[in-house]
Amino acid sequence: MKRYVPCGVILLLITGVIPGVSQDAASIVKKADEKMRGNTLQAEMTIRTIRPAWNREMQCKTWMKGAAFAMILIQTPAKDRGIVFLKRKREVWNWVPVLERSIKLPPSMMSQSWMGTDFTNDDLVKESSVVEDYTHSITGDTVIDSRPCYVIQMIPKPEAGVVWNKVIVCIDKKDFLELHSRFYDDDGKLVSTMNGYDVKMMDGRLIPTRFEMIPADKKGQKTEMIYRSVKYNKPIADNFFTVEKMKTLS
Amino acid sequence: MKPFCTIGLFIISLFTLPVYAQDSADKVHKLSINGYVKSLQALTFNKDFSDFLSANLIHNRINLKWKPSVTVTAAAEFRNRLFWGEEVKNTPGFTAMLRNPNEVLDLSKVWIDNKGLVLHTSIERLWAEYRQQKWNVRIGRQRINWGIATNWNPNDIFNTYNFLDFDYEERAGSDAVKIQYSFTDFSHIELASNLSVEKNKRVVAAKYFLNRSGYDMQALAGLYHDKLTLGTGWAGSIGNAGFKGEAQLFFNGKDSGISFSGVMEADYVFEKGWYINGAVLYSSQGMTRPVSGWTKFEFSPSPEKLMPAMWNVGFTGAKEITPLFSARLSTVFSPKVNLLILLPSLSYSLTEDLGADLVWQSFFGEADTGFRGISHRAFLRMKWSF
Repeated sequence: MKRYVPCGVILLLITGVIPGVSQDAASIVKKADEKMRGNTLQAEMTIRTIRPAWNREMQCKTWMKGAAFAMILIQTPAKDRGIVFLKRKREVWNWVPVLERSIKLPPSMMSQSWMGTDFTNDDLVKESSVVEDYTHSITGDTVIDSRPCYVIQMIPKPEAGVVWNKVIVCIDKKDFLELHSRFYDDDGKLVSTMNGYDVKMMDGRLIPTRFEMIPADKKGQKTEMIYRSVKYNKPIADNFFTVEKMKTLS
Repeated sequence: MKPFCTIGLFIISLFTLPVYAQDSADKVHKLSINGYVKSLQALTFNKDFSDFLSANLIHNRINLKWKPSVTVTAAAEFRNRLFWGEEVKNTPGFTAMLRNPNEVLDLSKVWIDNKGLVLHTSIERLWAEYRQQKWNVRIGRQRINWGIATNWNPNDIFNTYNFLDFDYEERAGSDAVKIQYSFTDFSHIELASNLSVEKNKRVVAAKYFLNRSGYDMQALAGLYHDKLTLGTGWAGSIGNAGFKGEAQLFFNGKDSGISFSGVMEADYVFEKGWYINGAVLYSSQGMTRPVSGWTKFEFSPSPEKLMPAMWNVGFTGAKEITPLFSARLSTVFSPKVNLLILLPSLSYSLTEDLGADLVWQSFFGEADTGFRGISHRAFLRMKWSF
């Protein structure tokens, strides 16, 4: 991605998009991103960490608003129940119910694994701008699960501070679904692959409801993220995303 | 026994409520129950490992939280501990040491006190909270957690904890009233008072909290054990590193002057699951000379003196080896006193809800015969959460 997990946020009138009309790469990426994110998003998710010798599953609830605000509440397993992560712009807090206190996390934690999964903290609560931080170009076409897709190359802008050297995304031409993404490092080596599956109608939008993040160099290892329920564009006040609110979620 | 009857009724009423809640369309009557059962086996060795004492503990916690409406929350948390082994047998007044000194009301009960076997229950939290948009009031046994740093918390004036007591994750609470008023989303004032009638145990204080320019900041003022106290704390970052600190001043009166306790720390998360944290703690009341005759390392921390020594340097390095297995080494060194504490630990997740920890605590100090071991403790813990 890791900047490109579709977990975040503007209702787009997709009906206004006429298939077949030539589109520029940036607007295709923008449509796919906006479709997945909405203005606000509330979702219940299952996250499965899969390793050759073991699997772990957790359930969580997320609230997101634009790129600046995000909150994640862990619901299971029991030992982590009630843990909350809050992101406001660049600041992140962690509510630990056992200690009854919030802990401010160092910014360096953002690029690291989130709760032992193949997702980083950034991936889940990103103020990512897949539109603004990259230059986009259409490099070809492909078909994924019988869906014709654009193949789009995204190169980060030098000032964006993106960890990737290159990202390739495959976006469904008709419904603007991000079905496949590959992330490359500075040496041009593939780091991880993300696939979107189980396209379903959720809260009036057709979206992939299961994503797999597969690290390239680790055999038998991946993390699955499954949307159990999604609500788009329900108003969430800015003051929902506060340390005070974090305390009352569990 | 009386508090137990009242509390028993309270619990029964809590358990019966979800039945109504499920039948009714009103889903606000939300009761949640969680907790854990832990088994802790400990061995305490003397300085040269020539002798040891065993201690065993089954530790159960049951947490109940009830939200009858969006504005009201009530909680009751029970801690049940069954101790056995040589340490119980060889420690005079063992049961008396189980009581939390911050508590005004005795809500604990010793069910069994045989030689070498003790069963103890205490109600660790028992509070009700009323919450409005801007206001909230919490009354009862609660933890007033004013610490903002990670390692040591001079600002934690209501319920100081012993950082060596790793098995007591929730830490002690106090019987108190706390009122909070929010000025904005990220600034508020808290007023709190414990319910102690004894002057030398009373704590009454106010804390102002503000988030600005990427920093959480707080200032506090009040009376701690009949002494005026002022404090401040912050949590922010420098570059990508976390930067936190706390300072607390105590005005002890004409004869004893002012005492000061302060901590400053930084932490960083590296690639591949590495975490480091470095901290310096200063307590003006701390010792500045080696102590002769250490036999065991024991101390009762207070906000004025979180460690026995005046200067203390802490360093923690942790590594997530796999998402299931992690290792940690914490060290504390007190210069001048020449006290060194090594705290290595390993954690392994056996299933989603079952974990195992191996924890070691070694204490070294300067004595007549030079720098040497004082005592060592090894713990094996299994924890099942529900």
